[in-house]
Amino acid sequence: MDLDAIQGIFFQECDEGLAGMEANFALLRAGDREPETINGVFRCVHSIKGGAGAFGHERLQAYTHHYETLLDNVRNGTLTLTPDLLDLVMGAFDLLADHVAAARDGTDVPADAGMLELLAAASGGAGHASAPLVDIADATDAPVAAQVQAPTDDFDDLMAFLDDVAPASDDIDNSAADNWRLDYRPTANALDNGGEPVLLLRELSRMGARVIDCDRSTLPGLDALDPEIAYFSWTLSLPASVAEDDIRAVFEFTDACAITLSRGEAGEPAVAPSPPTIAARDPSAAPTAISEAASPPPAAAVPVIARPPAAAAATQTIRVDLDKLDRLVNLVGELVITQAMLAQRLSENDLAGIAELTDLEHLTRELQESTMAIRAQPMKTVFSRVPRIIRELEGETGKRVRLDLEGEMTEVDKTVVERIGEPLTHLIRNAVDHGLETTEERIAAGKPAEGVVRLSAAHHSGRIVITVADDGKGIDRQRVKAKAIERGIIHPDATLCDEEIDNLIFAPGFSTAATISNISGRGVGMDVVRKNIQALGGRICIQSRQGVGSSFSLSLPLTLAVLDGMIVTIGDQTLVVPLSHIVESLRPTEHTLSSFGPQGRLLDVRGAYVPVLAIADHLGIEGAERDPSRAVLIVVDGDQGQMALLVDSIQDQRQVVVKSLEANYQAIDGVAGATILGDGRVALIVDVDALTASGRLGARGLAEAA
Amino acid sequence: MALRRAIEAGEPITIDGSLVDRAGLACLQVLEAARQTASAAGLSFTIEAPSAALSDIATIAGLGELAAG
Repeated sequence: MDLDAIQGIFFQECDEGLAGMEANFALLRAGDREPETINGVFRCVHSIKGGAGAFGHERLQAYTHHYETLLDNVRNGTLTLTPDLLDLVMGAFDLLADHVAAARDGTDVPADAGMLELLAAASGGAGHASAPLVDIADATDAPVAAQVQAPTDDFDDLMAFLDDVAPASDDIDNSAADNWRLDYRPTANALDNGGEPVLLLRELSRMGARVIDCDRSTLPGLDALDPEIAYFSWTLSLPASVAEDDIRAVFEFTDACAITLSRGEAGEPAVAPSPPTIAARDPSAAPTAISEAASPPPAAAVPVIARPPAAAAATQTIRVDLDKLDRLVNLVGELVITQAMLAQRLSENDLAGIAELTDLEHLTRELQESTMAIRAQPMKTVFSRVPRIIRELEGETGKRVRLDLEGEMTEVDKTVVERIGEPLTHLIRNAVDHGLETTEERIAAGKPAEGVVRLSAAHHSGRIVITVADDGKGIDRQRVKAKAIERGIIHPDATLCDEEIDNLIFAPGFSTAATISNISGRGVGMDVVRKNIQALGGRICIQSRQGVGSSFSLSLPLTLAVLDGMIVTIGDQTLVVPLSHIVESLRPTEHTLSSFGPQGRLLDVRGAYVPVLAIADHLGIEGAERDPSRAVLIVVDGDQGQMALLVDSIQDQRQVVVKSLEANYQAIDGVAGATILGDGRVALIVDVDALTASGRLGARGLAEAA
Repeated sequence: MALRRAIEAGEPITIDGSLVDRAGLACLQVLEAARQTASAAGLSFTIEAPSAALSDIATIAGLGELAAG
């Protein structure tokens, strides 16, 4: 494992930490003032700080340091968490996320001077105004210089003490007996793993640690020295005010060491005292000094108690490379196909009834489900980004928004989780920007000043339904229609039902925002959202009531790897129609069919007329049945409305493993993918949305020609 | 290697530390080993004008006397 890989893990843990903090903020915002909640936030920031120090991200470390100072004041009760302070803490959190991203991507460090001043001002409210402010001025004006110089100054002092120990012993701190004594012994291979011990020592020294002894006894002579082996080990003394988990956190990112931590070894009286000058001048010692002043025992005791559950949870999971997982999923897919082929071959030889085959079928299905479950992720990973989006929107629009989240733990396949983020962000921006009224308008309409955006996820008959709802003004249908006519999207005489008008906002190039804001309204939005959702095999629908609000529901398949389908025959071809689209299938009688134009036919489904489309015509399949009265019609619900697909016969209904046609061959209009059947033949999966769209177009063309 | 030869040749050791930007444990170990080896051979060992970075690192590691200038 090299340094980059370890750093990669650090950033992954940063992301998880940030997501965890977001969850805690939601609690805090809801009025939760449990000490554990703010402690959770503090610990996350602290871990990031520790890692940032170990990997040399100095700006990130400097920033987290000041952030941590403020949080520490909140957690030990020096500061009360007022709503204003909470806003600042969350604003600082957003900047922290930017800092982490900058450190990860190696991009420019975000401008943090303003936020640091705010943080310092807030921390300063606790009565420690001057010291932190000076640090910040240094850190922001000339961060590098400050980093190098500050410790040097301290160590000049330290050197003075070391050269002449006598004056220091005059100054014995009362708590000296409680000082931490830390034995730190890097393993011989510590240098291989990127766990540069000197960086850890530097981190410790910022906490006020002093080296009592550097054990050099194992160091061989220059002749025998192996530069890649770590020989030294250290005994350090840390001020008693430093919390145990702060010390342990320094070693969090390396396991190439043995540490023993003990308190109050009286065996080192001459060197153990912690000279107050160092504690005061070392920037990192400042927060601990503050916490000591406020409430010494809890500062050390609380985190120690809180630690074990987090550590226990961490051992329950392992990290797996995604490629490995994808390969596993793929292999299981192949196994399912092979199993189907085997079953078919056996049934050809009258061996279908054997018990082992049934067992194998059960096992493969269970295996498949378990593999899919590994890939499943809670929607939380997507939802945790939303509060920040809302906060930014609040800032940009001046509206006040409350976010309600529901069903965060709903699990869905990783591919869906990855690709839902962007459309969802767009819908949320849309809800805040277009959906919610301004605060004044809301008050005038007799609504609470704070708008509500509700985001929920739930499983619904084998699909996941994600809803973005707002309690805003709803869709102004008259304006939508006027706009659509103005843009030439619909004919001025067209009569449309409410639903059809609502769906106009998905038309390409449509935007109703009176003024184009930089949030939304450039007309590149909703059609792209719908396209993205369709690419995931999903559908989007709108419910809106004027003055009450609107809600956008996304219905998505749980996984893109398997699909429940109806196996149909058309001519000499076998095709699969996705079950999720099928409304009903029927064999038409003479009087349920009416002719329409030279080619067109309509099917009367209990009073509603549905156009009939022969798949064979569209995909160029020969020898297929064209007479609807001798074929089977499958009524499907596509994106552009219903349509009756004409097929020769229905074979079976089963789960198929989807193979991408695009990756293996090329994209074909009207075909969503392919699968391999039990007999080894390839069957195409019908793209119902594309077929209904083109079918409608064809029908319209005919209507205009007639 | 140059260090070792110098010690074997019995020359007093003076190392220019003024341009050091960054030093890790490996570097400190080499220097410390050289110092010990040199003093065992009865030779003087000095790091001349150590940079702030070098003396800083040495102090943190409890090897202040190595780069005391």
